[in-house]
Amino acid sequence: MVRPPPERHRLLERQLRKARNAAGQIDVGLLLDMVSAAYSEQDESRSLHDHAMRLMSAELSQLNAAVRSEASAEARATEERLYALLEAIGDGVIVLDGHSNVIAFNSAAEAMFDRRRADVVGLPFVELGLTSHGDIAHFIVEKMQESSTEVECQRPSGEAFTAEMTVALMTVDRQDRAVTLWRDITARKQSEGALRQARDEAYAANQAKSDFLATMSHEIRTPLNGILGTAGALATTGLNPDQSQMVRVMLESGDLLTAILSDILDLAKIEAGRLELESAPFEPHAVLGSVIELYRSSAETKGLQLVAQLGEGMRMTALGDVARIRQVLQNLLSNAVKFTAEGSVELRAWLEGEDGEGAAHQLNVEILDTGCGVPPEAQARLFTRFSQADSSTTRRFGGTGLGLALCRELVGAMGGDIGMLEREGGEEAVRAAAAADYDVVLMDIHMPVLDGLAATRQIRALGGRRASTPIIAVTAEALPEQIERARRAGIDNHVTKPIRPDRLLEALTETLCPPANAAPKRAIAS
Amino acid sequence: MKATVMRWSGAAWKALDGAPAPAAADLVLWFAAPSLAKDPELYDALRRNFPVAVIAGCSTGGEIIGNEASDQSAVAAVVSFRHARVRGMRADVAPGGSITDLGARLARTLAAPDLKGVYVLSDGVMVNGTALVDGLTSVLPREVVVTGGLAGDGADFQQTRVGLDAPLSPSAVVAVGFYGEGLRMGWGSAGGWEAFGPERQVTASEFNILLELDGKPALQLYREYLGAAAAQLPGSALLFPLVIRPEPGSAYDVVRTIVGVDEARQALVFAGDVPEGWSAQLMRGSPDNLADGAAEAARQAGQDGGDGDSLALLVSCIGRKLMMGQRVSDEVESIAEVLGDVAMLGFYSYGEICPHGFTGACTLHNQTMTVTLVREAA
Repeated sequence: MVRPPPERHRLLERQLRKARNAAGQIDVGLLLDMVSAAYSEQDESRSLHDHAMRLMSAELSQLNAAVRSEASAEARATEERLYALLEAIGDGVIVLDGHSNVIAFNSAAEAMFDRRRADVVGLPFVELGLTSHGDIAHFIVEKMQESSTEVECQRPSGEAFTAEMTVALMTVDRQDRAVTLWRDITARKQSEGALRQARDEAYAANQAKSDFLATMSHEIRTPLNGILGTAGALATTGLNPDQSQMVRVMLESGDLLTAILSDILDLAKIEAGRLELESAPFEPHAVLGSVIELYRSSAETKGLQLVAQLGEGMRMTALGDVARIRQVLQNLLSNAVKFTAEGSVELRAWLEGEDGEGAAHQLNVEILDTGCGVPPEAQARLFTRFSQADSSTTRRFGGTGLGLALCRELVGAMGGDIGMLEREGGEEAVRAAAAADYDVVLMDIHMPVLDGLAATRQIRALGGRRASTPIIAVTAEALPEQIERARRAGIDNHVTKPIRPDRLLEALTETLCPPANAAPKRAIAS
Repeated sequence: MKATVMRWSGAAWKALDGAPAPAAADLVLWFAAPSLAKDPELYDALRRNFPVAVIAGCSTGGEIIGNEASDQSAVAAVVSFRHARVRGMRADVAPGGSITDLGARLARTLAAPDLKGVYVLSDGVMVNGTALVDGLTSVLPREVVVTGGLAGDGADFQQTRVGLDAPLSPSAVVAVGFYGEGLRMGWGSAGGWEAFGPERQVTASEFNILLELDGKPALQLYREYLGAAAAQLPGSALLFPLVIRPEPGSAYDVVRTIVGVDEARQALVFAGDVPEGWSAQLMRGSPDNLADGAAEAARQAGQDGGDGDSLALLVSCIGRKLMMGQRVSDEVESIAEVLGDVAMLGFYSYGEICPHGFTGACTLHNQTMTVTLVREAA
């Protein structure tokens, strides 16, 4: 509050009044005493207040310091909790503030960069020389869009290493923070490099091999043509029977060698990535029909039935490489005819996919034969190069061992798939039961492809006399509900594995010569 | 109503303006410096002059008459009412007796439908003013204005005296009831001190004995702040009153002043309670600020106007006098400037009794100037 100056000096006025004696005269000594006392009072009062203000300032600054140290203790506790969290992460963690100064550096980072936290915290990241990137702030902003990035780093010793860095930007207490996670990926990089080198080397070696094979095939074909041409000419020169046989062997071997060279050349092309597929219109029905006809005479010669089942949709126009499709089908059909001693070879083909102009379709082709089949252990390597179901095959049936491998490559190149399905056991049994009269069928309940119960139902469904052929199940299953299930499927009796001769004889007797008054159910139950 | 103020000349009571003393009086209030308070002649002279008046008085830490504060004097106000009546009651403080009960007993004997105000003069060193006020207000309705003060002993805090219709004596409480529909009792109370420094917590206290602030001995804090003036304890402690509040920032604040020290317990003895857990802050003053505070108290008391026939009763704190020194009259002059031509009489006390400006409930104050303005409607 601002006071207006008093018009007169109040205190002095009072002092003068008090100093005046009864006669109206001023006692100067008394007046001066009062004035002096007033000055002393004022001095004392001022010094008291000054003293109090000094004390207060000291007290307040102590309080201030206490508040600050409390705040900094709180900050330290927070930092310790933060570090406990950062230590648990395992990866190196470096936290930067908005000016790219390091504000946290965990133990993993200490070990990775070989720097002590105390030496780096508070310093601008760019001055630490931890990475080959000078302007880390710019770098981080640039890289934060990426999930992680590789950074070339270095230790004080000069040793370099590669780290994978992940950045997260966040705002804590209105302060910008960049949390960077670092993982040393030098070892991973090295093993990746070694792998890449090995792969490149293998690729190069393979390429060299393909080139070599292609060149060799070509180079061999020229003299081979000469040999075959000469042998062909020799065959027409009136040879005796022994000489004719020798020339025929010479010509067959030459043909085989030509086929081998042709397959090798194709495979080498595929491996070198030089296979080019044509895309020309064709009618699948016509193409498949003509391929089948190629094998008509050789099948008939062996007494085999050759059947083609071509769906109506096959008459549409398709786009593809007809020559390569024919090559695959011929390979499969020639195998089928070659390896089937009796029975039939059947080609089934149909289209799958949406109807309509320009719609993509899948051409499915199945070739079924009643040949010797492929043992399970050989199936896995059926479509690999230079392998046949049996190493003796070449001797008995000829062939390069490259055909199926080539088929797989060609079909793959056309976007398709190739494989084989074994059909035997059950299916075999049904065919046999349908084809001839048997006194009794012993049915293994667990057969591949078609299980015993399904096969039994098919036999019962054949119609005619053969449908009622007695069937005895051979099974490890003997639980009442399993026996009941078997009975419903049409099984007449059963023997459990392992088969004991006396039990088998008993079952045969029960089934084939039942007592006139015995109920079938009872016989099954026994 | 007629009011005249008089001063003891050393041999007789003389009106301040030289006018003759009123012939008849209903009430005489008088205040005397400790040395004069012991002299029975002063009372006897009053009684001779005013045989039927209620005569109440006390010892002081300084006297106020007219627009001046004085020392080593005795002053009196002589009042005659047109219609109003007054009645005095005295109670003696029994050792170990309850001051609250004493206050309630006094209030019960004075209570009446037309009771407008009670003016209390109490022993200043034996009585906890807070307890006394609690007792009075436990009986009296809120609209009865209770004002007054605790008697003083200069700056010595040894022995105070109070009297009703008798010479002044220690350990007594006197209450004067003012009755009559035409009476107006204005009141005001203000300090002018300002709080400074950190807010501290009362960590240990027993009623009006303050043991610790923020876990440290209270006396130690005062010694540090008084510095050289610590030699004049307990009187010099009045230079730093304490403002206390139920909690920091509360509007209900009360200023407490020290009436004694307990060296053995490193404690300070206050004129009123200093409850444990309350917030406390040191205060400081300057003559100008205290004079401004006094003017504010006068403005509060004179809100509904005054006239020449009013009596202004001033109770100011001894601490204010110690602080202001020769300039203590500044605060009396400030009041005179506000109230104009009224009879003014008062004393410097060990505790002022007045309603609280914020709550309106009667409270013991310290370090304030308290003004009671008594008027009677024409």
